[in-house]
Amino acid sequence: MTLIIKPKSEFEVCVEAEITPEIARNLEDAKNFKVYLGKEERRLEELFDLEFVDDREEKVILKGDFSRVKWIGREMKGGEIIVEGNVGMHLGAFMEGGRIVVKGNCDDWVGGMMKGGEIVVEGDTGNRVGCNYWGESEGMKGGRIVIKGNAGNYIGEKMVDGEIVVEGNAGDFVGSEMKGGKIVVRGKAGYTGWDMKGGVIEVGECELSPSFVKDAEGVWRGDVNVKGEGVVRILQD
Amino acid sequence: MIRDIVCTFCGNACDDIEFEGDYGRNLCPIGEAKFAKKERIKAPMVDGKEVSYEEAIERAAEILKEAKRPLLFGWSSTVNEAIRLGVLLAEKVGGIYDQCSSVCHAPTTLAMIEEGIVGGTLGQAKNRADVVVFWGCNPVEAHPRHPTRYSVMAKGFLTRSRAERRVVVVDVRKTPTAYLATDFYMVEPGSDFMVFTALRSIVNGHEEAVPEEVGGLTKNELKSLAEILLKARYGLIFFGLGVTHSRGHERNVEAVIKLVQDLNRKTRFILQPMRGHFNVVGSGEVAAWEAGFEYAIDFSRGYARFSPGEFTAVEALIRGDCDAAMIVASDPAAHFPKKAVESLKEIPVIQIDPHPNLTTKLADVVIPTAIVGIEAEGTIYRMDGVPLRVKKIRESDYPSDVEILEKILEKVIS
Amino acid sequence: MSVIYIKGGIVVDPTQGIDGEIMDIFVKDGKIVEESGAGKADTVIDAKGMTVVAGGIDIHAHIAGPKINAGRAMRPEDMKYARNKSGPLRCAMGRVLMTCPAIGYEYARMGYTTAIEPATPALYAIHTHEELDSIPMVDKAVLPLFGNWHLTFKFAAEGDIEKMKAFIAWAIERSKGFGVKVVNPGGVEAWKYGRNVHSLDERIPGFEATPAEVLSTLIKASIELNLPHKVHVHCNNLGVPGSAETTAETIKLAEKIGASKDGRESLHITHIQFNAYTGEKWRDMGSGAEELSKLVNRTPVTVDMGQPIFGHTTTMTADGPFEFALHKLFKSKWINKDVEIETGGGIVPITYRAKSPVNAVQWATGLEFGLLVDADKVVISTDYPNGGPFVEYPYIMTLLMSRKFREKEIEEKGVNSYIEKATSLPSLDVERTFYEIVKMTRSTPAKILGLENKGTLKVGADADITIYPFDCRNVSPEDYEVLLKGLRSVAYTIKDGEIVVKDGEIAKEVWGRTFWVNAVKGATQEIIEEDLNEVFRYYTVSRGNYGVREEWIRRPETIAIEE
Ligand SMILES: [Zn+2]
Repeated sequence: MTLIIKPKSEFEVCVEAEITPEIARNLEDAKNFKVYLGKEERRLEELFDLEFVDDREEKVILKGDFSRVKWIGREMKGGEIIVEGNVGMHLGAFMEGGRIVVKGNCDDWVGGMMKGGEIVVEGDTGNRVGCNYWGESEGMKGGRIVIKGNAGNYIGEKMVDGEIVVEGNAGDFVGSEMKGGKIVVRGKAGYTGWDMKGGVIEVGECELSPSFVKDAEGVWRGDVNVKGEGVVRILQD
Repeated sequence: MIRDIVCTFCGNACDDIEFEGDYGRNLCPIGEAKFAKKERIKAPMVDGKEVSYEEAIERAAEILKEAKRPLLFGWSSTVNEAIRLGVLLAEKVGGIYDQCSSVCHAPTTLAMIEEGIVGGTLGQAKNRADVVVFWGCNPVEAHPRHPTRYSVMAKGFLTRSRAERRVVVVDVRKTPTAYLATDFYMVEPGSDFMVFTALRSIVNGHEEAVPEEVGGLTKNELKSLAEILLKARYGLIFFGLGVTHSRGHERNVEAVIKLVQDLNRKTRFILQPMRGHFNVVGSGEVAAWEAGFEYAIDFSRGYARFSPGEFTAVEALIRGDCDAAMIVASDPAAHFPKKAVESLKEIPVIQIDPHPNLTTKLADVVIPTAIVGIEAEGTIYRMDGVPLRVKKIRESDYPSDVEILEKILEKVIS
Repeated sequence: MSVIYIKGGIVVDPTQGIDGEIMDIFVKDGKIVEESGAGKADTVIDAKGMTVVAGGIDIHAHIAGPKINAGRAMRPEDMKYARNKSGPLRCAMGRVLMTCPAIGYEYARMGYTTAIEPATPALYAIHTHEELDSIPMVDKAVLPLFGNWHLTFKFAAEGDIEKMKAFIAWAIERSKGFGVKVVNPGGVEAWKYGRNVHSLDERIPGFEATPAEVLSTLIKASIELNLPHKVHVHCNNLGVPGSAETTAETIKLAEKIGASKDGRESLHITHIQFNAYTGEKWRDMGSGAEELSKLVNRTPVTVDMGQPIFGHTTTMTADGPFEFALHKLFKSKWINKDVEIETGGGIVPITYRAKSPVNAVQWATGLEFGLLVDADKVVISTDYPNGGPFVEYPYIMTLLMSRKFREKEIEEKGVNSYIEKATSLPSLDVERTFYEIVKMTRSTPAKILGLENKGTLKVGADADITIYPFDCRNVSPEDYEVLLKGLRSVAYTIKDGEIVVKDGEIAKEVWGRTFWVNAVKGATQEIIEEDLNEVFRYYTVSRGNYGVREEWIRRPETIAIEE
């Protein structure tokens, strides 16, 4: 089934709603799904209008302004979420499978510590795409994030595996302490590759950390300070 | 005469102040201003009208209980006893606890989460350090007695005088502190991250990875600076807002932490943030032992969640994530970005403070208190975490913020 | 305060030689009383089929102060686990590292009622007491650090016992401390020069004294001062192959000096497991527990285990050079703190893996001590959080009581078979009795600490009581699962005569006392006046601001030592 969700009104504070496509399986469960308005626990239907389309999908469509709704798609395992506008923080955090498409922009922490699945953002994102949460030693472990616009700072830090593609520009600290996987920034990036232990970064242009050495093929290798085996290819070199 | 008074201005927390009536000896000019008599909030107010303390406390408790996610912010200019009540109150009303370091030295906490920190007490500057680096900080103006008490002229156990210390200043301009230095390196604004990392490559023997010029310093200059660091018997880097508040932020701090980690493989080195408010350290430490985290803590789900950039005051206000605020011993209306102040104007605000400030103007409930360290005692932590007791040296008719917070907490629980 | 009758329980109290007798226990006004003095019961607990013992005592757990708190701040990934949501009780956070409310609640839920914070820089004592004051449920005390204080070195070099006595008395009064803690004597000072000391007879940089002289003078002074708890030492060379030899030499120092005046032991070697490795390299590292246990059993020395638990934790100790070594080994995050001219410390996260030969030997070594040292001389500990969470004490008790459980753990966890070569554990068939376990968690730590009203159910003792929901006479080592479950789920914890835990859940939040020892009458304070004034020239705080006043502590209780 497809579940279409629309905010009923503007929220007094941000809402936390760990909506995954699974909730589209059953109308009653969806209505009673717990969401949080600050310290108040609410049912999904109290804050949102719900509309069901009886089809063969396992799909959620978010219409209207979700820019102050956090944790959409948290730990999602399959199915599809379509966000027609903007969306709040922590989209697809810890995601394991399925697909999220955002037509608008995203706040910080898209795909934080993601393990699998795919997130496609047609607009821009905030900071910490595919990044590790505070103090954790590993970031993204799998899956794919595609950002058609620009991304903020700290993209793919401590990444272990998977892929992040930014079609536009990215901010500072692309792939810091990266261990594996691949990050592509087609436009410009700020500080890149710091303390990289492994993995590959391809970037249009960037300010490379002064701890990489260029090899015979014109590829930068480092970070020397951690005896890293990371590779940075600067496409416009 | 009262001796061993702790000054409540900056993170130095000088504890050798002596008071004879209203005259304080050993105070620096900023400390003097802090102890001078200043305008006070006369009486408690609700919606601009003077009311009794009971009424103001009642209204404050009501606002906090009704709010969906109240913000409890400030804390770095009061004592640990008040801070503890603030954390408990935030927990009980399901709100956010955040403190001033979220707008000053939070990057240091974030860097510490990634790498830890190689530190020591200020006694290491005084007794041991033969190389002292001031990086992006200017104690001569911001922590006036720091150079004489601790870091430049102090008479130590191993390092006995200024002559036995090499003092290095790295900054974007020639500050007054730079005039005290043996060596001064001028770097381009916002280049600290690159310079720290380049130094680290040199220290680790990977000169080849360093370009000819980084952050306005030539490779030779970088090598000479690295040489000074490596030759230290015991080195110490003090860093300030120049590092935490320029491009790179917490990663600048992380970069210098990693540099210091690597330096410890060759000699001894420590690092010390130059913290501003006199108890900004306490406002993090108390929260850590009560709730597990130093700042940016949300209790809306009944347990503590830590999320800088989300539950930090400025970002929470800008996102419209709080529908009430309590401000203790702080003036966000003067220091927060415009958008955050706009958001504060939209929601009910409670202020607890001895002095009127810009926040008073937008507060719905104002509760005046005794001045901590002059009219009320308690525990504070110096910039290096060393705990000290601030004292009561004058009588006052105002209740302490501890008393006010206890009453609000009681009302909220009942 | 109320009157509680605990009726018909199976009582185990080694201090009275009671081993599984059905008895009634009477509690009034926070104390254990005679039936005749109890009066009418407010509460009657039917303890039929349940085992009644004194409240547990943790002799060594880093539960408060600048170290654990810096650890919390550094490890949000460990603190994010919620143990209890806010409600009538506090929210309680943390997986291995825990917040103060969590520490208090978890001790009480495990039937523990007293815990000792074993290492605070005296300079930070105000902070440590603030944290102790935020830990509910248990009685507590703190040991200030002496082993790297410049004045300690000076008096040790001069061999001046009188001055050392005065200094100890001054420092524990100032820090509102309980006794003398020594960590890697001289080594932490050496670390300030980027070094360590490697033997008891090596000269400490900048001083004439050696670690052996520091230890001997402190032990002698503590004996002469009649401190309830004698020197509590974390030995030199901790955590490296060959450390067993240093530990043996340290024990021999105490042997030479002899026992305390009251006949009790004069030295407590803490977390001995971490200091008990043979070999020269990690590759040939082995356990020295068999030899060391024999030595401990015949000398005036006590120990606690420092048992590692497989999994994540955070190491934290005043042993700065050791933490630097761990940082280099694991390339992990690292906190270091050099503290004025008195001590230092470090913090590094760690994971104990069953499959690692080194970690497997550590695990086995801890258990060997738990099995081989007399139950009157060894206390269960994990050196929280260094070896792991204290909430695993029931697991350790079960390992010590059941060989079958040990075998199962070795099998299921895949403990590296190197332990067969390097330790005696696989061949040990010792199984501790419940009576011995009660000693190792109650009466033995109480005796070592000199807390006469703890760890006992004697009339007049503090009414700190654990009631386990099983009959200790019927548990067999074969049924280790029943045993483990029973030890983990306390039926009642009674603290100072109040029921604070019922059926494993907190029934009431209470605030324990903080014990501190006032020994200033035991030594002439004037003789160190000049020395103190001299060292305070090198402090960055005034002498007048150094230390803690009793009125700043929530519930202080002085143990005064008369002349
Ligand atoms: Zn310990």
